[in-house]
Amino acid sequence: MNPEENLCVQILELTKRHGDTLAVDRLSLEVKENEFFSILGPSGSGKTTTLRLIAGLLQPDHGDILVNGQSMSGLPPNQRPVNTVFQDYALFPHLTVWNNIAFGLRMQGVASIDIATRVGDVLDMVKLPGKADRLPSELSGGEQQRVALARALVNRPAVILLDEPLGALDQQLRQAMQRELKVIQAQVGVTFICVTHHQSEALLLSDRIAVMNEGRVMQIGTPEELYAQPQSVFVAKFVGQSNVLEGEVVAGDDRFSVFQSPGIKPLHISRMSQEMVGARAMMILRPEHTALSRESQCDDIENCLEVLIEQVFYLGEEMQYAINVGPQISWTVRGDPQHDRATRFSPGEKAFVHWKPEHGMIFPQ
Amino acid sequence: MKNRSFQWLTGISMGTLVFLYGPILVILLFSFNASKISAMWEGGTLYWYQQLAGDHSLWAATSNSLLVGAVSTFVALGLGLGAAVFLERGRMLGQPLIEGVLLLPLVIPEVMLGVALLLFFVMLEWPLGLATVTIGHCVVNLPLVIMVLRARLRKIDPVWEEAARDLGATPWQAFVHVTFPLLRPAILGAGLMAFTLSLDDFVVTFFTTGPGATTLPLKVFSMMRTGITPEINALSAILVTVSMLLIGVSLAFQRK
Repeated sequence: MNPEENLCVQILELTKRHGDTLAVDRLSLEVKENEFFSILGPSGSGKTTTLRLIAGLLQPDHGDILVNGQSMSGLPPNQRPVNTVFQDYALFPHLTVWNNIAFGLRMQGVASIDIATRVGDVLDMVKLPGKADRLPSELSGGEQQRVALARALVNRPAVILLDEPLGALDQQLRQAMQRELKVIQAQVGVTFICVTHHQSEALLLSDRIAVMNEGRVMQIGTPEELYAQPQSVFVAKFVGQSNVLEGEVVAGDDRFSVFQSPGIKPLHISRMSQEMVGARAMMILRPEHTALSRESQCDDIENCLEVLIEQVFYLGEEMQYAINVGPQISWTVRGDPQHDRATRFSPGEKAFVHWKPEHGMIFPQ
Repeated sequence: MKNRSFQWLTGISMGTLVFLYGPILVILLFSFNASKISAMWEGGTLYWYQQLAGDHSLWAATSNSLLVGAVSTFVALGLGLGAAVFLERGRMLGQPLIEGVLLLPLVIPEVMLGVALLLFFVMLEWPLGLATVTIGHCVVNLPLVIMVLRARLRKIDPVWEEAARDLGATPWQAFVHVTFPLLRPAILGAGLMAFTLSLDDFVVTFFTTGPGATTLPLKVFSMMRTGITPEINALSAILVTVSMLLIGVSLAFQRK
């Protein structure tokens, strides 16, 4: 890590057991100042436990968390420079919006004049002026979310933790809120650590993402790195859509390797190390890297397979086809609905799917 | 078919209502009876209520009842609140055992409880009086208070307490500013219920009372030794009305 960059949060070998299972297993990661960092993983991957450990709502069995260089070890949640936006917001139902937001400042004993200005400012920032006297139950889901965010922002913590921040909102509100979160972050300069199982949310919001599975970090990187250069099958499958083929690397020269899957003709793949020849492997292909056609466009280099169209999905901006590639192997590929209008495929039709050798990603099994 | 069974149910409900409230209505009615003999109606009067108002021993019993009720309610609320929070939020070994023991007085017959308390006070050589009656009422009310408060606490999501802690509150501040306000309706409800039960209690009071510590139900009982007079009707009518009002308010608070 470049020492020039200011680290906001350092997590060192963090371990937490829930009964017999390791919820978090020797987790280490670093979050830079003013970064939007996401922890992405399926449910049960330990991401929420990690968040609660950072907040101090759980104590680790082993390891440490540093915020701005200071150890959080043994500190109760109220003494940490960290605030959380809870999954279902956890707004105090008996307090007005104003009193909800002022809660943290009151606990810190901030003078009431300062509380008034700071709460007013933050209400403007989340675009909720005029709702100060409402009770949380009188607000819409999107408004409640803004109050939850304001309640954290007003304390000017070093880090704001977001637990599935957009999970409870509908699609349109989600997108508006995603944009707004980025704007607010640019405005106030605060570090966000966001926990989500929603890969598109993580890709859109984050500067960097840690993908977690079974308590461990699988890969940390920018959204682009995770999507284009996944280091494991898990990351490849979890981030973005993928088409999978299992088989064996049978030969290789300096340009291509040959990948053989049972019942399918040999395929060309460009990226690969020589050691993998002879090993069981898994090939993963992104849907946008494949194309469908009626006539075979196969040549010496490009891969081409004859497939059966199983199902057709019209999604407005694109078409999706479920295609049968080989025995029990189904892929999803895309098509352009405008372009395909005349030539749209229908279920039961034969077609050819083709892709360039450099697009096949190969992982040892 | 459906209509028929519905009529049946309505009939049964009405019968139950008459069964429950008929005797009370009779007492209410005859407390306004001008005749000295309860069985005959000779026109309305407020004379018996005036008689009651002039009875000094009755006023003493009333003030005893109110005092015992207030003190035992406050003590039961304080202890019950602590126990309820401990049982719902605490994490400790042996919690189920403590829970069972705390709720035991609910299923012990009140007569047994009264005898046990009496023996206990005698053993301690504690003179019987208002203090022992108050302690007895606490024992009766505590399990009820705990039950009502726990039911409410279970509905208060611990995430609010976590949010308060996360926003800088100490555990005590989180309780005072978040848990307690959310619990307040249940505390009021439980308090009114405990107070009412204390006002109405006869059995435990009978065993734990001493000279000069007569409460209203004991007073009614002693007045009845000389026969049922219209004054007793009037006093009973007042007790019933006040109790029903208090329980009504208590339920309204608990539902809130």
